[in-house]
Amino acid sequence: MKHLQTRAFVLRTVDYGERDTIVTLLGRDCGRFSAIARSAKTSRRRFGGGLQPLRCLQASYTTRPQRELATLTEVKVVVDYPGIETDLEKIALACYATELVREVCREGDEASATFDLLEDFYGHLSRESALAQAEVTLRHFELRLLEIHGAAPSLAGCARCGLSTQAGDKYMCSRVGDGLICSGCRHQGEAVGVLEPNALYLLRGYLTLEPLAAALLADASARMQARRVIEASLAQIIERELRSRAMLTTLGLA
Amino acid sequence: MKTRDPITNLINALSKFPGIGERTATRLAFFVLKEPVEFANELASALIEVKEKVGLCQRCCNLTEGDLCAICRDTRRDPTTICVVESTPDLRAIEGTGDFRGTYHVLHGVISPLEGVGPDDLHVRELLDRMRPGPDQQATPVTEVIVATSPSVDGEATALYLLRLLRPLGVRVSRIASGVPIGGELEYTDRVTLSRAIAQRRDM
Repeated sequence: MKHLQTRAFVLRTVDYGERDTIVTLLGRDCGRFSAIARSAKTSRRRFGGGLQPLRCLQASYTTRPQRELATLTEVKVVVDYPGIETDLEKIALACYATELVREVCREGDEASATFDLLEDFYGHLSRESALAQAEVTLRHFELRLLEIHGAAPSLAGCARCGLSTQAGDKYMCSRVGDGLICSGCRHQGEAVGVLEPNALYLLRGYLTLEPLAAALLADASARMQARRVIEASLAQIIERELRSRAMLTTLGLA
Repeated sequence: MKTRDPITNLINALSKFPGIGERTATRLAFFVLKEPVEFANELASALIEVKEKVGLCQRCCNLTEGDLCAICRDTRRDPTTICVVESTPDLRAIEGTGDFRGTYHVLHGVISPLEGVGPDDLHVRELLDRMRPGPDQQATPVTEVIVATSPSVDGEATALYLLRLLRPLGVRVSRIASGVPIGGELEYTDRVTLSRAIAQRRDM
């Protein structure tokens, strides 16, 4: 039996029996893993208010060979995000990011970059003025997550031949999430979307977080196109509709 | 899947209960087999009766046998204050204190973005209907709604959503306090609870 410790985010909790909870965690050192927290519903001393999403924990756990589930022995909340929990929109955005990470990460994969990204996202959201830039922050999170997991849409040049885009070019975008496609690489009969230059500037701005012009941010058509490009890339690595999207739609954030 | 073996059918049915695994379900099934047939008849009729007779209170969505639950029927209760709870066990817990003399509203769940549970999955509409008294609702206007959902992310999301709906109606909306448990020791209180207790301290 190994005794281990890691900083971790809670990705999901599921009640198990009368007293136990199965927790899915994203450990900075060990990636995504699941653990059983025995008597979690009664032991406030070992788990406190830590076993819920939007908590960064110092988790102590044990593993045994040939056992799928680790056993969570104790957690201490390192960071909580009261700035998120007092705002419904922020809760919805944070839950969406949490679910996205849960779906994208696989057990056993290295996840320190994803952990840091999620930590930055929660930290940004917990700031008072975060909602003013919510769309940019969310799109940046999605694009960076795609980049970390090798599924980002190509935004600098053609996804197939690497030819860079020139100003004045008519940009075409793959419908299956690859990003830009030049006219030479487009397969015969392949369905592509036409991307306005503003949408491409937005996508690049989302990724780099360079300041974006107000007129660009106000261009609803470009924002919609940029969103579709990201959604097509996400669809490549996510197998099902995310549950948390419903709340984003209810609140007009999707 | 239904099989021809009645014992397996019973074990499968029992293992659907929360907290009952296959092993416990097997023990229960063999217990039923050992008992006289009257026990099985009594159990079966109790299960059927509870499903046939118990429904939701037309006013507060608490579980009841009639149109209105005992609390809504009680004329000594203060109808101007509504305590909103997640579930009937939560209602019973507050009722057990004996300190609350208002009425309740049971949501039968909480908003949980991560689990895809939204406002439409809860009994929120019925709560809003109570704010606008009609011919079938109570005549006294509601002046305060106490949101008594758990102090978890989902509980807070639910409270914030209700606040958004209720505040424009001119109703006072309050939230149950959270903090250090009575008899608890500060040394062993978790960091989040303690910091919230400090942030929400009260004048003496």
